[in-house]
Amino acid sequence: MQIKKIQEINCQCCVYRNNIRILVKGEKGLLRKVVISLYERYPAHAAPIIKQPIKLKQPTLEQMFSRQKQAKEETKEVIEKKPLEMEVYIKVYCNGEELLCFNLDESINLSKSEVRQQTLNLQFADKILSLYECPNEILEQFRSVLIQLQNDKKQLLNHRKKIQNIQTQEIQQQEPEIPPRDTQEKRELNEIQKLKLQRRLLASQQQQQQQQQQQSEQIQKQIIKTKSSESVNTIKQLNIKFQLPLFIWTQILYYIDTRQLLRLRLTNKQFEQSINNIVNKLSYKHVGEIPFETLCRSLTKFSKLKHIIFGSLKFIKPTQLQDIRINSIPHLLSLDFKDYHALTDKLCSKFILQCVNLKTLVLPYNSKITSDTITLISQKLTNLEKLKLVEKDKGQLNEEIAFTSFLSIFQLKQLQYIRIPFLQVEFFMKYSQLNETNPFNSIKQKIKFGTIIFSILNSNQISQFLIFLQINNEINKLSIGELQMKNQSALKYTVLFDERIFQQINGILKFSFGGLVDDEFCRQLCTHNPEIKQLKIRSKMITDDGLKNIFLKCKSIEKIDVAFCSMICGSGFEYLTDKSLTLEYPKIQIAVNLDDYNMQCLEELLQRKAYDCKPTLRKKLKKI
Amino acid sequence: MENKVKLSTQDGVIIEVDKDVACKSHLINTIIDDTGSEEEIPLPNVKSSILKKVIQYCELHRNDSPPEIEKPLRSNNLSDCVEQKDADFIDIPNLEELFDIILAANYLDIKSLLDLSCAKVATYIKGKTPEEIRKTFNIQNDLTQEEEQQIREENKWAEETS
Repeated sequence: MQIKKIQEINCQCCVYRNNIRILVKGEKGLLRKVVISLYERYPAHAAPIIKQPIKLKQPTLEQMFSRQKQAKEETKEVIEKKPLEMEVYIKVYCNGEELLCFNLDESINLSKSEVRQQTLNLQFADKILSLYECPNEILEQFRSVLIQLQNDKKQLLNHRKKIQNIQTQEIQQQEPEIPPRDTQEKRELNEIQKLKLQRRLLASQQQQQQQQQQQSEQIQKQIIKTKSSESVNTIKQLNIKFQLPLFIWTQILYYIDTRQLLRLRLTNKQFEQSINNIVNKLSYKHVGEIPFETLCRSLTKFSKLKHIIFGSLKFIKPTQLQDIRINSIPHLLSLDFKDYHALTDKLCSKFILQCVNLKTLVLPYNSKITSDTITLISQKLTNLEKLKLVEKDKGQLNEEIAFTSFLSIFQLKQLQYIRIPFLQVEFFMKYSQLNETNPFNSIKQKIKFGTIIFSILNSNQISQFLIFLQINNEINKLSIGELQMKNQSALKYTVLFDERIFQQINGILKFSFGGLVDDEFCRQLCTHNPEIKQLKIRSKMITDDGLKNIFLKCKSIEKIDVAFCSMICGSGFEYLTDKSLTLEYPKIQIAVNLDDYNMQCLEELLQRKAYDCKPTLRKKLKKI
Repeated sequence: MENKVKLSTQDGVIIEVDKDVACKSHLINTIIDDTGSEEEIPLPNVKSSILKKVIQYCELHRNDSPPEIEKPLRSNNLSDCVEQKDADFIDIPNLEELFDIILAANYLDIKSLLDLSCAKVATYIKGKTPEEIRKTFNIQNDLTQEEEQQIREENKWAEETS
C-alpha cells in the first residue's frame, strides 16, 4: 500500500562512539527509526583500536519524535500490516552546521521490521550515497566516516573472534548454549532508549511542531530543485569514481620512490599487484638473518627486478641460494654480492650463466672466488660495464694471488669501471717485460684501487707506477687507496708523487685518495690540476690552511668530501665563502665532521653565503 | 572550416576545436587520417566538461611537447617537477575530475596529459601511509591478515637502494 505523498520529512544522522543512527521521519509525522548498529557492545580493552569518532552534533531527538505519539495513533493499523513507502530527506549535522543534505529520490519500501535495524555495510551506504546530490567534499567526509567505522568494526570483530576462540578452548563446550547476549542487551537498550526519548518528546512537543512546519516547507522546495536537476544529469557514477584500471594505478605508482612503494603494498591487493610489477631494486644490504623462505618469496614476487644487493645473508648457504628462483633473472642488470662472503665459484657461475645482461657485478674478494669465475665473466658477461672486487679487510692483501689471473677481464669491451682490491707494482714490471700494453687502457671511465703495493721503493718501481698512470685519456675519475710497502708500512703520497706524476694525471677531474694525504700533497695536486671538480679526502691530515689552498686554487670545484678530517676547524671555509660571492662555486657539497661549536660556526658561515651557491652540509656525519 | 574539427561528447555537446590542437590526441589524429575532418568525431567516453579541460591542455602545448616527468617524483610539489603552466593546469583539488581527466587522456591517447595527471595523483600518494591512502582514495583493504603479515615480513628485510 502506498501511503500519501510525504508531507513532512526530518531525518538526522549522528555518529556516537558506539553506533551510527539514521533517524527517519516519514509521512504525517510518523517516525521511523533506522538504527545501524556498529558496535553494540565492545570490551573496554578494544577501545584503543577505535579512533576518535568524528564529533557530530547530538541529534535533537525532541524534534525527531515530536509527533510520534500522535502519528502512531493515527496510522498504527496501516503500518503494522503494510509496508511503508516514503520519500526520505536526510540531513547530517556537524558542530551545528549542516554537513550534507540529500533526498533518496526513489521510494524505499521498508517493512516495519526492516526499518528497525540494518547492519551498516558499504552496499547500504552506497545505496544512500548514490542517490543524493551534495558537494563532493561532504560526500567524501560521510563516506570516510562509514568506511572508518566499517574498518574499525572489522578489527573489533577479529578481536572478538580471537577472544572467543580462547574462551571456547578453555571452556571446551561444557556449558549449555545460551541466547546471545548481544541480542538480549540490545533489545533492553532499545526499550530504555524508547522510554527516554518519549519523555523528552512530550516535553518539547509544542515547540517543535512549528519548527517542523518550517523545515518541511524548505525541504519541499529542495525536493523540487533536485528533481529538476536530476532530469538533466541522468547518469551518476559517484560510486565508480575511484576505480581506475590497474595499468593506470601502475603508471601512477611509478612516480613513487621504492622505499614508499614497498610500504604501499599494504594498501590493498591491487596496489600490491601493481607494486610487485614496478619495484626494480631490492637491497638486503644491512640485514643478516633474513629467513630463507622470506628471501625466496620476495625474489619471486617482484617480477621486474633489475638490481639486487645481497647483504651478508648470514644463515643462507650458497647451496640454498643456488636453488632460489628469481623471476626476472634474465633481466637483471646489477648484482651485488659484496657482503656475501660465503660466495663460491659454483654459485657465481649459476648467476653469470643466467644473468647474461648484467652491467654491474660486485663480488667479494676472497679465496673462494678464483680465476674460473673471472674467466667465465669475461666470456659470458659481454655487456658488463662495472666490475668491483671488494676486499673485506686489508689482511687479505697478504694472500699471494696472482693478478695475472684477473687479466682476462680486460677483454670485456664495454668495461668502464673496475675496482681492484690491490695491485702490486711488480705486476707492471712483469707486464712491461712482455712489451704488452697497459691493460688498464681499456677502461673507459673510472679506475679504483684499494691499495697499491710496492716491494721496493726505487726509481724502477716508481717508473713502473708512472707507466701504470699512463692510462686512457677518457678516464675521468681515479681512486687510489693506500700506497703501501710490502711490509705493510704506509707511504706518504708526497714521497711518491712528484712533478712527473702530477703531469700524468693532469686530465683527471675527480679524485679520491686514501692513505697518507696531507696539506702539502693537496697543495701540489691543486697547483698542477686546478680544474679538479671533485675531491674526496676523508680522514686525512688536512688543516684549514690546506682547505684554504684547495679553495683558492681549484675554482671549478663542485664537490669536496673532507669528512672526519679532524684537523679542520672550519676557518678554511671562509675562503669558500668569499669565493662563493662571485658564484664560482655553483653546487658545492661539503661533508665534514666537526665538533658542535665548529659545526655551528660553519653552518652560520654557509648560511651567510647560501643566497649565492647553496652548498649542502651533510649534517648526518656530525653524529658519527 | 578545414582547420576546425567537431567533437561530439558523451553528453551530446558538440565542441569545435582547431585541428592542430585536436590532433594532439593520437586517437583523433588517427580518426582524421582515416575519415577526414568533415564529420563530427564521436567521443562517447568523454564528458564535455572534461573534454574542455583536455582541449585547454592541448592548447597550452599547441607548439611544444612537454618534457618527460622525472620518476620518481622528487617533491610533493608538482611545480618542482613540471613546468609551472602544467602545474597550474593540473592543480585540481577534485579527485573525481582528476580521475576523469586521466581516463580521458588515456582514451584520447595523449601521453603527456596522462603522465601529468598521473603525476598529480602521485603527489596525493607521496609520503602517505597505506591507511591514509585508503582514506583519500576510498580504497577498501582486501588483504587478509596473513597477506599483510607476509608483506610486512618482506618489507622488514628489504630496503631501498639509492
